[in-house]
Amino acid sequence: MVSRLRFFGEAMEITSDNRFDSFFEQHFRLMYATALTRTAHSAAAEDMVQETMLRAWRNQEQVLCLPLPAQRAWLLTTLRNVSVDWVRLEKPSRWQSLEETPEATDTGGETDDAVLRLDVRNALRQLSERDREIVLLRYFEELNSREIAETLSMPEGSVRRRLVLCREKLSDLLTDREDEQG
Amino acid sequence: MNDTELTSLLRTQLQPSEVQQVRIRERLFARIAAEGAIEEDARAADMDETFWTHFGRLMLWSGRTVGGTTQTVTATMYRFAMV
Repeated sequence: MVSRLRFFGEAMEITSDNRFDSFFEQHFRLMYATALTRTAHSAAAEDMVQETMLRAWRNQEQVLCLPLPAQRAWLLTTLRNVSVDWVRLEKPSRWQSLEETPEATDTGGETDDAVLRLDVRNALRQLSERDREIVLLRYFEELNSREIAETLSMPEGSVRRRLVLCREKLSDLLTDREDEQG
Repeated sequence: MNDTELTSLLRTQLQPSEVQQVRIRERLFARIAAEGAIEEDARAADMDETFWTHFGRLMLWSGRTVGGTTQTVTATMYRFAMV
């Protein structure tokens, strides 16, 4: 009887881990991209993703039952809180600024690539927090306006309007960069 | 810059590298395993404590009911259990 119970318990644990594993696979790229626009260093972004996902794991019974837009909303809110805690507890000076170290992004790319990556991140940082989330959900996660509106609990019309403004602003910022280089 | 160009730019520039993906996953699951182990230890300690508390109460009750000290009741039960 005891061994049967133990076997059942292990099976339940495995099922639960598998569910969390798929949850992690589904969301961690968006979390990383969002974190990158909130911090000056990719290592800090990794830590933020890890902390956010750990909080999701601790609350998995509640989070995994949510529909997909609500899961995204929960993660974005948690990441926002984590990044606020991060800035408060860890001194921002611990991480060097973006402008100082284009080679600091440890993705191993060419310097040009690293500079472009920093320019994209800097351009995104010129947007408000809510606009950055809208842009990432649209252009990184490739959601449509209705799905974004559902995730961020805002009217679909506002999402469309803000997307147009954000695209214009990002285009200007990134085109200016190309002009300066050219 | 149109929608497709922006999508392609953001997806290539903000995507974690393979190395980063592995690192985030490994560190996260190591922390989850560590937290899981701590919870398991706490549960086991709780069960241990509960078992011995109930065992102690049973011994005291048996001692009073049957007559005799807790030690003699424990020794008798142990003998029965061994048989």
